[in-house]
This record gives sequence, structure tokens and C-alpha cells, in this order.
Amino acid sequence: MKSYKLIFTGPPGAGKTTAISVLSDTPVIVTEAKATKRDPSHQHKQTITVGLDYGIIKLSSQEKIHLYGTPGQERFDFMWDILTEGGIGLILLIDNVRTDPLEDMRFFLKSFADFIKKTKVAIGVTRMDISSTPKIVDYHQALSLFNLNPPVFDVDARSKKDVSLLMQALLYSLDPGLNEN
Amino acid sequence: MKNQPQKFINIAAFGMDQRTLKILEMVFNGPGKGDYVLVKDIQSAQAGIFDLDSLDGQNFWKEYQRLYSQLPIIILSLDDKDIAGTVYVKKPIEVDKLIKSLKKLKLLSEEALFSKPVETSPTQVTDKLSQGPRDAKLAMEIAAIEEEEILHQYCGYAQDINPDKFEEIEKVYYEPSHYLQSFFEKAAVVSQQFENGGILIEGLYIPIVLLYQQNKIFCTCQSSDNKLRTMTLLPLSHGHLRMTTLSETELEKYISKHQLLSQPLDNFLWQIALWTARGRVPKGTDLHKPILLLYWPNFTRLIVTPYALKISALWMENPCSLLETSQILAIPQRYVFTFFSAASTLKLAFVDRRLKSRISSRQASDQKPNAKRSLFQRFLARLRA
Ligand SMILES: Nc1nc2c(ncn2[C@@H]2O[C@H](COP(=O)(O)OP(=O)(O)OP(=O)(O)O)[C@@H](O)[C@H]2O)c(=O)[nH]1
Ligand SMILES: [Mg+2]
Repeated sequence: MKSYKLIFTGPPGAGKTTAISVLSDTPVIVTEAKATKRDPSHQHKQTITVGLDYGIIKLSSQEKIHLYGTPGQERFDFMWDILTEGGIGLILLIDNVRTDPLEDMRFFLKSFADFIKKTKVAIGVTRMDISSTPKIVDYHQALSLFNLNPPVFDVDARSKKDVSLLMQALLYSLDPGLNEN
Repeated sequence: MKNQPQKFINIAAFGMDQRTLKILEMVFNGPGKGDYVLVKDIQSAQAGIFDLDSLDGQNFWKEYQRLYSQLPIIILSLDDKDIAGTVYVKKPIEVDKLIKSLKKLKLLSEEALFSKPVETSPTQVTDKLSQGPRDAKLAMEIAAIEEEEILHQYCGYAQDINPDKFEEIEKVYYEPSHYLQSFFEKAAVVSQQFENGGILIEGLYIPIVLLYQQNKIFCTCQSSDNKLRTMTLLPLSHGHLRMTTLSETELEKYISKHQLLSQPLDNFLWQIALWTARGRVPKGTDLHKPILLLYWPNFTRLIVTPYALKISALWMENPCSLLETSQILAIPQRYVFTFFSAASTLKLAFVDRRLKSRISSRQASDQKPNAKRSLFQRFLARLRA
């Protein structure tokens, strides 16, 4: 049995757990806790992830892709280096409704800089239906300072089509020579 | 296997002139690969074709509806005929379109054969219910054919050209200024100056309001509207189209009075560009100079033409010319051309005139595959399934 891992990261409430669930073949294993009133970033949802999210895409009986979602809160960032070890790529989800989404993106790009250098990143901006700014082009502008040009898509984490397209773009970034069929 | 579908279907044709009949025969025997056989009378037919532009055709059609009206039918006509339960093919007949419609007809007739109730009795209802999986399969096959038709609307059918032949090169070009596309682009440029107001476009079959700063377009249609598509294909007659500027208050009034709905301007222009380009590039585009893609298009909200992700990934990594792109990725040129045309309409892609191509074709074939290519390939196939 060969297995590989794909990492989902992003600030609290960006849609990591949701995105993993729409792709996973098995029910996602999450360690969630009731969100407390003290944390304003969680006003729109009932639960927060305190451990890793975990889902699986089975390619064959011999091959599995493990989907890991990091907990959104920064107090868990000690786990990130170990987690990314051997991973094939990074999906970064950014919640466009938060106070400074571009700063969120910068924070995660810095935190995962080594991993991104070794692999590739694809960025999904979620909840753009609620807040349309910053625009996608603003993200690209901010990215140019990092010398990065990854795909940045408007993604609804609840939409399998959106999440799948982002994932496909990640794969093509890793190898443009892949075939469509 | 049980229920093996018959190899060919009999099709009866009505109201055709000799020429059209000849075309049908040629198509049936040629590209139709013997899947379709022309017959004279409806009793021995499993499907029918009616030409509604002739008086004969119209009379036969009325008679048919009165007496039979249970076979899959193709309707031929010069203008749109949206008749429930029939497949419309526009005249003059384009062979590819006819073939697609025939395939659909064959699937429908096979389905009719399977689901024909032995006798009319209450069991019919349960029969219909047990049709579930096959109905789903049929729906999927028809959806696939329709999807292909739509793809052709965006990418055309053109075969790859030989860039060494001057007369072939001409074929890949179209002149945007001859089409509606250029009018919308011009309106977008004019609208750029306005922080709040917008541009009203009149003279089309519906009014359209364009707000560049807000990336919005207001109209009463979907951007996938068929009429709109037809307009994009016709040569532009400037005389009829008018552009007026509207102040913010005028704009609000106009939109609510005409009950216009908004959609993103980007997506609208992208769609128009695809329809107009149909596998070609704007006149004057250098096919040999590298393409600069500023950044990845926002594909979740745009029409993704075949290989668009792959082409984007290549251009972000390695700017190369339109012809090289087709060569390196081993994909038909029309998909590269169409994608470039749409991306350049949104000002995302440019020909980089300063540069000679950065990669030689030898290097191109040496492009190193990722060590995990086969894994990625399986993963991708899974995501696309
Ligand atoms: N309106 C809207 N809601 C979205 C969109 N994407 C995701 N959501 C919702 O936003 C919430 C995201 O929650 P989670 O998936 O738990 O987010 P998370 O990143 O796992 O959060 P933590 O684990 O707490 O860090 C869910 O309620 C989703 O349904 C979007 O594009 N629009
Ligand atoms: Mg979570």
C-alpha cells in the first residue's frame, strides 16, 4: 500500500474541514470543539477544529491520498513542519470575510515557505459571496512580492466542483505535462 | 450481452428537396458509417427527419403529429425551431452538427425500443420506474454529446495548420473589430473612466449596461443565451449599436425599470471571446513569440475549455509561443488559440514581442516530468471522473 499526503491549511473558519469532507471517500475524522464566544473569528460557525482533519481519497486498493487539514488556530503551528514532511502539495484556503485576508495569506505563505519551495501551493479564497474584496487580482499583486504565481481561485468550500478544480490546478502546477484523460 | 442495440436505425425523411436528400444520403453512408439508413415510409422507420421550410414538409409534419408522433425526430429549418421532444438542426446543414444530432436520435430510438410497453396496462408505471439506471445512462450519453456541441461552439473544428504554409496561417486569424466582441471591449474601455456610472448599450435585441469598475454587466439574459451567441457570430453593423453614458442615478432607475440582472463582466467577456474566436486568435497575433500569462485565470468562475489548466500551468512556468504550446503539450492548436483569445480579452495574456522564444523545441521535448507523474495522473483522472 502506497500512501501520499496533501495538506490543507488556512486561518480559522476558512473552510478546511468542509473542503476535505467534499473530497474525501470516507467520513472526515475531526476533532472539533464548540466554538467559544471569546473567539470572534468563529462567529459564523458552531465548531472549531482543535486537532487535525483527516480524509482519504482512494485511488486504488494499492494507493491512497491522505488529506490533512491543519487546525486553524496559530497556537497549533508547532505541528506544521512534521505534518508537511513528504507531502505532495499545499492547498491554502483564505476566508475573504476576515479582517485582513491578505495578511492571512502572507502569514501562511511564510509559515509554509519551505514546503512550498519543495512542492507547489494553490490558493482558494472562500466566502467571496459574502465579501467580494479583496479581489482575486489583489491576491496576485500581494503574491508577486513573494515571487510566487500560484493559481488563486474564488472557491466555495462546500462546492465539490470548486475544490476539485483548485486541486486539479495544483496538480498541473506540479506537472503541466499531465494528460486530461 | 442482453439488449444489444441494433447496429443501424431506419430514418424516414419528409419534405426535402433533392439536394437535401442527397446530402442526407451522403452523410449516412459517409461519416454516418452505415449507422443510419434512409427509408421511404414511416411505418418501417425508427426515427424521422422533417424539413419544415417546405410546404410539403409542414404538411407531413402536421399529419405525422396527428397519427404517430412517438418517434425521435430531427427538424431541419433555416430558423430556430424549438419544438418539444425534437432535435433541431439548422440549415444550411453542417455535417458535424447533423452527425451529432443523428447520434442523439439513435440513442433516443434505442431507448424508445427498450422502453416500449408490451401492452398498455398499469404495469407500465413500474416498467418506467425500473428504467432508472438506463435512463440515467442515456441522459449521460446525451449530455456528453451536448457538451461536445458546446465545446465546438468555443473551439471550432479546425485541424492544426502547418505554420510554414502561408495560406494555412491565414485560417487561424479572425478580426475582432468585425464582431460584437470589439464593441463590448470598447464599451469596457469607455466605462473604465467612470467610478460610479455606467455605459448603456442599445441596438442589440436587449439593452445591456456595463460597469467596468464594479466588474458587472446588467441585462435580461444569461451569458449563455443562444441569441447572444448568434449576435457574436454575425458581422458587426455599427449603424445599429449605440453607447450612452448613464450617471449613477440614471443607472439605478434604468436597471430597476427594465429589471436587469447583474453578472460579472469578466465572465461575460470571456464567454463572448470564446464564441467569437472559435479556435482562432485575433489577427496579427504572432504565433512564434512567447506568451506572457500575467496570472492564472479565476477558473472556478469561468468556462474552462479543454486543456486550459494545463496551458496555464505551462505558461506560468515557461512562457512559450502558441505553436510551441500545442507541440509541447501535444494538444490540438485550436484549444491553445481559443484559450489565448479569451485570456487576452481579459488582459491576462499577451504576446511578448521583446523575447525570442526562451526554449528551443529540443528543450521542449526534454521537459522533465515530475517524479510522481504517474501518481498525479491517477489522482487527476479521479478528480475529473
Ligand atoms: N457563504 C459561504 N460559506 C462558506 C464558503 N466556504 C465555506 N463556507 C462555510 O464556512 C464554514 C467553514 O467552516 P470549516 O470548514 O469548519 O472551516 P475550517 O477552516 O475547518 O475552520 P477551523 O477548523 O476552525 O480552523 C462552513 O460553515 C462552510 O459551510 C463560501 O464560499 N461561502
Ligand atoms: Mg476545521
